Amino acid sequence: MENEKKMITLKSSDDVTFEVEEAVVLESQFLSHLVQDCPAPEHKIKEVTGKILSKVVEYCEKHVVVVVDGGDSSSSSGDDLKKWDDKFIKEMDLSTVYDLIAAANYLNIQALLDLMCQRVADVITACKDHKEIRETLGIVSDYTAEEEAEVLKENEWAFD
Amino acid sequence: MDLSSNRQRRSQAQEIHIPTELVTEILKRLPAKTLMRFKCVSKLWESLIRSKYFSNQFLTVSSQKCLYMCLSDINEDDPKSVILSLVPNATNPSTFVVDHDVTIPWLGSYNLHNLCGFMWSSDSKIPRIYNPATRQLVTLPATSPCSQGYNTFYYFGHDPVNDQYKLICLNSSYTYIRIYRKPEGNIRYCLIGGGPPPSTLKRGRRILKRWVLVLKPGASWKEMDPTYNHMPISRPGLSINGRIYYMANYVVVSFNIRSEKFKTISAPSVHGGLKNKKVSLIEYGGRLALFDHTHLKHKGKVALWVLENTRKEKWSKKTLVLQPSHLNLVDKTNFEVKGTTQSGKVLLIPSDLRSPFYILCYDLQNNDMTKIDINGLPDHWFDKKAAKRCFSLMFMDQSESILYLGDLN
Repeated sequence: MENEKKMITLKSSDDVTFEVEEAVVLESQFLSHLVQDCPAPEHKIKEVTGKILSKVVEYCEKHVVVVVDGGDSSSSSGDDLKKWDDKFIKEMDLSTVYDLIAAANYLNIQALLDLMCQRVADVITACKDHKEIRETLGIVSDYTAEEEAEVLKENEWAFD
Repeated sequence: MDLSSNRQRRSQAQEIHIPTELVTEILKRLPAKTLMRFKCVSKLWESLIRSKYFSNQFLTVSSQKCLYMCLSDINEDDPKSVILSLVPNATNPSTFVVDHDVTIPWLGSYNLHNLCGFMWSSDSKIPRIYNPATRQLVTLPATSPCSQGYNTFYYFGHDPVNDQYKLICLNSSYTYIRIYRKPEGNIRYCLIGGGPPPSTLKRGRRILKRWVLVLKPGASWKEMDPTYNHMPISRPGLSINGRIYYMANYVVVSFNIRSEKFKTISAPSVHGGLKNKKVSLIEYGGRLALFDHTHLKHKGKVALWVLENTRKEKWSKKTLVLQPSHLNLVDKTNFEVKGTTQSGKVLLIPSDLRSPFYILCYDLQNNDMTKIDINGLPDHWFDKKAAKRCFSLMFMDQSESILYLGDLN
């Protein structure tokens, strides 16, 4: 029954609260230890903003494996989940992706970390040269013109 | 900074900073080639990609199979060599096809070996190491003490504990003795050491000079004590669990990469002794083994000697008999062993280049042999006379290593 499930409240750094089932929290290694070690009804997560925590909760709710009465698993099948993941990352700008990487790393949610890192890796792979990578990721080059020419020459083959 | 792009996410990205440990998380998911492109982005990224910490992280994620084939025209007037890269056919994984997009510099040798993910040529005068993932070609220090025109052997290995690569160089030559005749008729001998033969001197014992080199920037050869025993046989060595193994006349010599100590292990009584070219060192289940395929062609049989206990020098022998359906793969051709795959399968390469060209992959655990077709080799290589060409193959199925070897000179 719905009301028998244990609910836990998570509070973001900017005091946005999320009420989630305990099973959802267990997707995060960090939170499952926190919940076990200190059984308070509310947990403040100072390192994550409300905007990002809402994404984390959305992801974990989708990925949680819940066995409902009757033995039928209500978690999504592999294909559906992949489609959902694709849509989830497609809608996101890179700045949110970075924040989610930091949050997934802090909360220790390996599947979310993998998904987000792969997204950035795909963006990088699609870049045709170093200039496009710099532009996309907002990196300022510290090479002098001579140094850059040298390192470019050394790795020329990788630009085919 | 060039901000010509009108895409919004790019301009947003300008304000973002990613912590370095998370950068590693992202970068280790990239293909090696993209990473090399990334080295041009900034000094920080270049030093990160070159670091040992990163290359170890990278090894845990990336992996691909590849074959490299060196084809050489040994016509004396105009010798030519080419190294081709072959990748599995996407639809038929038992076929490898030449990837014409990849060109690899010739390493100055007709023989290729795979060592820890590097391409290694040992029979050239100047040994070179090539990393196909980073395309870095490293020439060993030019002051190599071994280039004296005598039999020189190089072996390469990795010590997983200290994560160190080391090379050993062995040079076998003769000692020479100068003879003094005293007026009273006595003869005195004076040992003048190894080296090229001065014409007036008497040849003495064979001596094996030994050097070691730690592969790192600024590396140089360090001489170790010479020995008068166990001259190496001109065959590839092997590196397993921090030790280098190579064959000598009646023993297998083990070199502990960390302690730099040599040890000999008596060889079992293999058919024809260790000088038999059909006997090779292989790794079998993490242990050293001798693979003897003298009777493969005619009897469909292979003998496998596994070193069960190094200290007691105890070898166990197994005889493998090919399945009848596999006999037709081996009964017309002579094969040579060219290492083992990560999953312990032995690779057998035909001694001659014939079209259609194929190699064999022998799974010793399940006694199963598979044929791997090699497609896309340029036809003109098959047309040349056998005496005018030679070829060598190297299989690479461990993770690409992006380890930056450094400028050794």
